[in-house]
Amino acid sequence: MPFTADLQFSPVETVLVKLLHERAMYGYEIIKVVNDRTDGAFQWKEGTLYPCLHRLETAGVIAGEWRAGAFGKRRKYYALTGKGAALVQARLDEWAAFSAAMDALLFAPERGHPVRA
Amino acid sequence: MDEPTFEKLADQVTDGLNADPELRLDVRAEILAHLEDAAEHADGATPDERAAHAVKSFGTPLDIAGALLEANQPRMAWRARLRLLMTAVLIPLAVLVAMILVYGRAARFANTVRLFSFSPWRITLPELPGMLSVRTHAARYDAKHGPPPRTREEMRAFALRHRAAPGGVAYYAIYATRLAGADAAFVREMRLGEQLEPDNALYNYRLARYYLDKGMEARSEQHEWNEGKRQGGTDTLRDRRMMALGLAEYRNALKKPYYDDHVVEAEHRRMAALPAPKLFEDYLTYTESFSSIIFRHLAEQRTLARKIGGCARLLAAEGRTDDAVALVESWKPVAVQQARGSRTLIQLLVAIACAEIAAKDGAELYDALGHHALAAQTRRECAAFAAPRTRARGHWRGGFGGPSPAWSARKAYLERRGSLFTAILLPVYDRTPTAAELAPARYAEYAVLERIVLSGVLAALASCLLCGLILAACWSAAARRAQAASCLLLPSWRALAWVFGWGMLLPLGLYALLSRLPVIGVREYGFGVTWPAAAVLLVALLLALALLPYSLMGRVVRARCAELAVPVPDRRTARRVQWTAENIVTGAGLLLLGLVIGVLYLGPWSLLPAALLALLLLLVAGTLLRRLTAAHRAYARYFGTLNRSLAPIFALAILVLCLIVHPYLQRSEVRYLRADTLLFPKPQHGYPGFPIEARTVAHWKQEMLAALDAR
Repeated sequence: MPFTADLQFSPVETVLVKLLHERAMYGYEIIKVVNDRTDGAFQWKEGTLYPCLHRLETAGVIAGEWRAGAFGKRRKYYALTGKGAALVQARLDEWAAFSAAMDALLFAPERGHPVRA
Repeated sequence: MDEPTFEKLADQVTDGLNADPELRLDVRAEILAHLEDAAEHADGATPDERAAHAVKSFGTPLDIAGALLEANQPRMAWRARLRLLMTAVLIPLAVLVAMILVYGRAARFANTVRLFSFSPWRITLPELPGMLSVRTHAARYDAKHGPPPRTREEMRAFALRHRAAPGGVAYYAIYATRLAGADAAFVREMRLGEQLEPDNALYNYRLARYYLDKGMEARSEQHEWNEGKRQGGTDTLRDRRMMALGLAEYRNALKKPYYDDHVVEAEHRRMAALPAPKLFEDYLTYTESFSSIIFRHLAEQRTLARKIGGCARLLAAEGRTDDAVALVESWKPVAVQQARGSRTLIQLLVAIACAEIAAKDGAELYDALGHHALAAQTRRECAAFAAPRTRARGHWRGGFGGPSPAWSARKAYLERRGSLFTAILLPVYDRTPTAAELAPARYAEYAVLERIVLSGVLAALASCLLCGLILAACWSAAARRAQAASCLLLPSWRALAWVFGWGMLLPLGLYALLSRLPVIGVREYGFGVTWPAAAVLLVALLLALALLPYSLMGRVVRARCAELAVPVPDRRTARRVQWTAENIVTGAGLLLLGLVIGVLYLGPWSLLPAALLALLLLLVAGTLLRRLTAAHRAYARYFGTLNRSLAPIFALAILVLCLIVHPYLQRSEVRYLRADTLLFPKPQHGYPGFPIEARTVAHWKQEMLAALDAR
């Protein structure tokens, strides 16, 4: 299965699409969620997140909307568009295939050289 | 570390987005909100420590700026194209289309209305290609086929050149009816006409009138135009030989099988050479053209009838009683001849008037000679001949006491079920049209009215658009002066669609629905009856179109400014400043328009003073605007964005109205006018005046001829 080029280097877009499929979020919230869910294993930086968000927004996968949150503070929330929603499952399948391929590459025994116990 | 540090960082990060100031503001606001959140949740004992931590964990500004620029570049490119599309294509296109349509139709209509004597409009406006009036079409036709004959020689040559064509005698008849008796060649030309059309009594009647003019004057001629003083005066014999010649021609005319002045036929030919009428103003032109030619020599026939009575009295005074009696008895064959030759109601009315003049003179002569029974018979026969007119007159008005109830009821019915035009033109005809027959005229009138209103709406929208663009430019300059960079915001497609939908499409849709619903709409009855409801609907529509977009766009821009931390004035100040700015621009625009009209009226000499006045006006308006924008410089982005954002809304509305609504209304107008069988001459009917007239004429003619036993 051919993979999108960026998937081989960074899974950020896939993560963003999946997270925003759950609910609309703003930039800082996304960083917090990623850090929390990965127990701090992924320490996303703004320099990684915002360009990716803007790229997805330009591509029409997500749409930003200014909304007032708690205490009236206005933040730009991102949500999946129709186009983005249609993309979620494909991205997850792609990731699953990519992950399986990586597993096979990294952890499967080499052919003709059985792994010793 | 405090907020200015955040702002500095946000500025550095978004520096690469400078080409799209609004996008930069948007990203900057997002980064600031992020930094504030990060500082709120960062580790540290003091706010400064937390802020420092947030800045530190943010990353290297230069790297982030590069990444943001790369991510946003495609978006910046299409936003730039969108701006270009709006400012360079959509808006100029809308202004151009609106100007062409409004001006083109206005020029066509104004040049048509200018034909009528009651019109105050005296300027001929240049017309646009594809929107030419019938008048211009006629001028072009003349230019292509040679100018129409105007001088006597030209008309004669034209008539003789075309006499061999089928029905070509009509050209000579028209020439003959226009030739004045004072012309030296009059007798010769009438004789030529007689040769061309030997069975037509027209030329003999014209010759009779010519000779009788020289030979005598009837007493009734002396008070022809003074209805209140019918009595008095004397019949005067000027030249016995001329009178004899005149009477001889008169008797020759009586022997001819028919009398035809050919005016209807000639007018039919003239109209057939022009493009077929389509719109209301075309039909108006044809009606005016028809009416203007039909009256041309009808008065001459009445004068001849007066002269014949005078001649009979003069002969009786000389003792030639038999000749006198024979002359007065001739009113009947003349009446029959004229009635048979009539194709329009006005011709029939003139035939009745001539018969009444001649029969009255005859009855008086019989009374004077003691033949009272003959006098009474003459009066009875004449009354029977004029019966359709007398009956119709009874319908039209109740003597000097004002309109009769029957006439008023008919007029009210025509007003209610027909149009303003049917109520003006049709009460004179003795057949009341059915509601189904009247419906097309009524719908056509609404279509015409809406087309005129649409032109007004387009002009208003184009003015709003231009005013908005001027104000946007002024506020942009003010913003540039204040911030060294102009930054008017670009509303999203969604916001534009929202304002367009609620501010433009909704009022138009509601108007279309309300005005056409059978129960509450205004088209069930004629405009003369429902004009208050129609006026209320139209005023409501105009107010909605003028106020709603401003109000809705104000909300959109206010919300956007709040998102991007752009200062906005309070609502009262916003209304006051916007109102003042609009008044300055609109006032200057109206005064400039007044100057242009003044130059058109006064001529080229007024061009220089008008240009100086215009320059002064622009200077004053510019100064006032500059002062206003300088005083509210802090809100320049808000006002500039508001005015510029409305421009595409107005442009889109203009394009929708021009490209969808206007063709729809025009098609309706054409369809209803074509379906109308009551008003306006139609090519397919051979232009016999009003279509309803043909039926009335046939009916009257039958009754009149039966009265004289001449069917």
